Amino acid sequence: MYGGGTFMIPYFVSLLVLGIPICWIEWTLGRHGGRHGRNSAPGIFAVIWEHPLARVFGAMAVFIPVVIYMYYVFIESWCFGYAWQYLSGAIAPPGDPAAYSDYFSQHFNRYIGVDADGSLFGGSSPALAFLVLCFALNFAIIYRGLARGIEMLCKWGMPALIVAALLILCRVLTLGTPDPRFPDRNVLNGLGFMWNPKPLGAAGGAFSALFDPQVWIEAAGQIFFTLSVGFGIIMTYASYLGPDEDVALSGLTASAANELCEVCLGGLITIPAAFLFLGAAPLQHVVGSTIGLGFHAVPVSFEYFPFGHLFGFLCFGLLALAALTSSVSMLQPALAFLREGFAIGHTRAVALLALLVTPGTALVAYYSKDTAALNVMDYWVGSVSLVLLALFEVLLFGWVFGAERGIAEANRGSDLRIPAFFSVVIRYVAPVFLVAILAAFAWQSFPAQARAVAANPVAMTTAAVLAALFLACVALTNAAARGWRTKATGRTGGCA
Amino acid sequence: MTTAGLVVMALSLGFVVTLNVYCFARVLGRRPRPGAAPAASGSPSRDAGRPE
Repeated sequence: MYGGGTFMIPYFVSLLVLGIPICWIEWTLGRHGGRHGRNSAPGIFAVIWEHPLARVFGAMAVFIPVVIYMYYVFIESWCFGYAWQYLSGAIAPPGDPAAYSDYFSQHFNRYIGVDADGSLFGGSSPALAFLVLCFALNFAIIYRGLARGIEMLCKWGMPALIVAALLILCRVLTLGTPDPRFPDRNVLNGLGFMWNPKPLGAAGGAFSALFDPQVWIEAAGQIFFTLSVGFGIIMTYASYLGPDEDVALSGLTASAANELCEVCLGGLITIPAAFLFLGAAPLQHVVGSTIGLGFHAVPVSFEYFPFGHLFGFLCFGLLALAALTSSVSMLQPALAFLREGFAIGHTRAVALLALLVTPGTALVAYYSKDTAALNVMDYWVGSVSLVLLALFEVLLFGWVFGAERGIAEANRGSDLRIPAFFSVVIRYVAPVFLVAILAAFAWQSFPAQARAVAANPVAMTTAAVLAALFLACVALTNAAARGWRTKATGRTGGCA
Repeated sequence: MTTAGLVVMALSLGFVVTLNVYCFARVLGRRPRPGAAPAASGSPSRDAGRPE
């Protein structure tokens, strides 16, 4: 769709020019803010720049992860649901391998309620029960605390997930030609579908995708999601580091590990497996794009495994745990902000956050037809807002905090020295790249997306809810900033 | 799979694997900081200040 292997060029350029530098920026700003007693993005931004714009983007850093949580938890509940269905035997494809693909496609669409709004609330769908359970589990974890629960889960769950992915990889690469009726659908062609440089149009050259702004937008968006940068989450986590704890090597290692999972495991499993079982043509029409592929093509591949359903249970169960660690982290910035900005206790902050998030998740689950609400949130918040926040962070670090000072701050106590040329990348290259991406967004897809929102009442309702929520976040950030200023003035007055 | 595809795949996987080997070698080779408490999971020093 985006030029096959050609896509890897904008992908790695985005990693080097945006992903890794912004990751370092978020780790460094977070640790710096923590030294000044701030754990939330609005608080951290206020330490560096006392400006109304910093408050608006601080609000955005609370808004983005909260909104992404609203639909991410829905997707997470699909993983839990699939794990349970494998265990209970509810997933039972027909014996004919030729029917596997249709079975899993229909099963997935029915499970997530693609056909009609409100279909998950009819009483017969297990999806709603798993969503409620998943939602409650997330809040139970943040209520009980991170250090003992989720840290232990990550320590054992993540290596187990990687081992499971390696086993799936071995099986996919040894499938040969699973359906003899389609001799072209073999492993080598599956890998070729993923990695061969392909022209975008019939007349273009192999590298014509490099001249399409949409390809660069998609590559940058993929990097943001893979490394979790532009969400404001890393800043909150890094704010709990000690003042001289390493950020440079830790940030780079986290980025490298994420890339290993995405490029080496994801790149060799999902798309090639989808090609093997679905062929090239339908790949672009699976609901939810790559997410849909994961729930469609990967389950088909399990049918070719010995003990495939046990493997399906383990794989989706571990995937659900991995998603759980991400969704819990998405709640942390808002939780830190509520506690820090309004000096309220942990229990009250958790309850308030649950009240804030529940209607949004209910909206996503109710308006499930063609995942309309989810799509609006994913585009305007999960794509556009991420780039906007990342641009602000880069400018704040490069021009307000000072790139050289920032890199010196990152290097202090770190086990890796960030090369000095990254100050040029942060000051000039990354902002220009991000502005170009936003301009391309505005030129290529804003009008069509805006028209789509205007034409669909569900999308319009979702957009209105998002706008109201963002304004509420800005108002809360302003109120919190007034409190911080009063406190700072009081301290100064007392000293004087 | 074409030769160009093979090259793209080899370069991509090679870059990512090399980056991981480098990073994890550096992480595992970290010297303990003078005066730092042992970084055992769940120790009070490690958990201090974290959200509970």
